[in-house]
Amino acid sequence: MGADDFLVKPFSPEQLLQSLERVTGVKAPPPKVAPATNQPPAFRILLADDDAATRRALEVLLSKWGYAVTAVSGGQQAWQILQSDNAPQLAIIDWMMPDIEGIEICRMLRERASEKYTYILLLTAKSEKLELVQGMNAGADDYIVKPFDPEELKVRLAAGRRIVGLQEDLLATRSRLKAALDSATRGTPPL
Amino acid sequence: MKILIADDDKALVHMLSGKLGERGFEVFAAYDAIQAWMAVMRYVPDAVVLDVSMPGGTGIDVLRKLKQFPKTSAIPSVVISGLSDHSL
Repeated sequence: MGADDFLVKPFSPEQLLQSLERVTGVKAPPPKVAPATNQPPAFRILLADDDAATRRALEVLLSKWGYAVTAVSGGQQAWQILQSDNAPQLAIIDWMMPDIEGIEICRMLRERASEKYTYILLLTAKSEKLELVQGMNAGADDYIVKPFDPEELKVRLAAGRRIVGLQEDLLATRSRLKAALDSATRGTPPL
Repeated sequence: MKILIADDDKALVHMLSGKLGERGFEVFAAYDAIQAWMAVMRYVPDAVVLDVSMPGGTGIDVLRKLKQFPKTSAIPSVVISGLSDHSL
């Protein structure tokens, strides 16, 4: 009925652009390239859960929230990563895992003397107060009971990031003070 | 280049407007045939994208009217439809 072109839904915006190009004879300008931004790298997080479905769901959520996720299916793998030099400083660890339990990882991590702080959020199906106290005593910073509300997890992780950030600031300040002190005492004769 | 997109599917119009806007098009949206015709007369777009089935008349009705006026008869048109009817 006199139409110059015809598109059947569903069609992509690119198909519409091509169609408009055909009917008008005018080529659309190329898409504007967004200027490069100096965005900080994504905050790294370790996720350890032996349940594949939970792990996958959490991976999707965490990526959506902008985290760089390292997901593992067992306590042993999690422990290896946490011991590495460049370990993530935020970790979601499932309490119940077949090889090393989350609570045990907390204990081992806190026994190790390290300046870099790792904030641990225990993931658990246990909701008994006594057990949760046990988890926190083992060195977990926080816990979340399954099934959990994603928004609750999001804000709890944000709190964890704040703690890690404060710890980093503290270390940086201490290092600056030490350098200033060294520099000041270099010129001073020993007592 | 001015483009009119007329479709009662607001989400689709919104999405297409955004994409076309990113490519430098000036996009006018209409969600029914009456709005579409009024927008054609007011803005005289460089091309129209018309959905076949809309409230207040079809995209074909709008196209027919468009062809009747010298001011709008040469406007290129793309008709969109959920039906695979190429006889339009």
